[in-house]
Amino acid sequence: MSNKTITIEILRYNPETDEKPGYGSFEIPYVEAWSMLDALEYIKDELDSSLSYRWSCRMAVCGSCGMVINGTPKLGCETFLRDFYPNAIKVEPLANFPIERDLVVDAEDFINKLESVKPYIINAMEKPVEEGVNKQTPEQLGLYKQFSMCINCMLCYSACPQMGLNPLFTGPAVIALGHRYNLDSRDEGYDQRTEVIQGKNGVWSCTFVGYCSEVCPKNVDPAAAINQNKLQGSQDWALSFLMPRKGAK
Amino acid sequence: MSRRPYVRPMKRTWFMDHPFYRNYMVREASCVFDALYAVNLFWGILQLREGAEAWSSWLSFQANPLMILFTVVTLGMTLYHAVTYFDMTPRVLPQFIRKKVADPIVNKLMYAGLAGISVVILAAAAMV
Repeated sequence: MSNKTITIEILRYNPETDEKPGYGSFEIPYVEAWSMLDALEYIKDELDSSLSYRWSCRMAVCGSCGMVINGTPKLGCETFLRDFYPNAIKVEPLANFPIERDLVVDAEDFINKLESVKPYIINAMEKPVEEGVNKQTPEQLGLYKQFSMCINCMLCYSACPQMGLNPLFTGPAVIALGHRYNLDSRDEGYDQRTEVIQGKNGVWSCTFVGYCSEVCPKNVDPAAAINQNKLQGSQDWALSFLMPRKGAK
Repeated sequence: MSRRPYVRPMKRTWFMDHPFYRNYMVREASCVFDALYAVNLFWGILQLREGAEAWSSWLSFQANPLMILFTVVTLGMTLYHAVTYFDMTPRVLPQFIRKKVADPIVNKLMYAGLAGISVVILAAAAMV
């Protein structure tokens, strides 16, 4: 290991002793190949074993290690010290979530919202096995594939100022996942998701800041999902006047 | 061990914290200038109804250096709004259209539409 070092400032919070969060500073060896997750691991192993953070796959697949690095929501595993060296790096937990401890946030509200949008295929006519599988063309798959890439890392929730202003807002990832199933040719759950997607705290709480799509590590483009649903909702609303018996789709 | 999650309050000046938020607020603020300019134009129409004298006093008010400055700023804000709006429009289109037409093409069509409408309005103004 070289003699070079880099300073990591971490927003610490211990619910048992701290009234409110405060920064803790750590000077660690600078290793060019290290990600932020490697740096946190070093701190936990060598400097302060009480440091708390979430991680699992180390390869931007699991979505556990979302954190705010120098003001930008990022995955710790794909953020490298070399992009900041020799400057100090400031690490905070995801914004717009209650802090459980250090970099660990309380995601319960997110999980509840995720459940509310029914992110699974709803088939109104359950087919008997004898009738075979539900077929889907590559074109039909292509329609929703981008929205199915979400890893629930919640970076988009941290990036969304509307989330901070209205914590009841359903939010980018959940609406993108609802949209993913609505666009699926095998799904018939559109009506069941409408209340969440078009409701008071659905897409209309979004003002298209668009930062959610910028920070998304999987290019899901949740801002597009939300705003496509605004257009869809307006269409349904207009059609409900033209075809009152059929109602909104 | 007891849970005591800490909720960080949102600052009133949250939009100053990141360039992305600042640009967003400029985009949103452009509507204030456009609204004021629309009020000015509406007032002009009312003055036109009042008669020739009122109309020419409205015209001379438009020549006031402060009004010219306001008009130039409004034009700049409107153009900024148009550019950012055109950048966002392709993403609002239904997914089946978005899969068929590339975003840059939709973006260029928006500019073509703006140019077309501008030509029609300018031609109509030239004929009067």
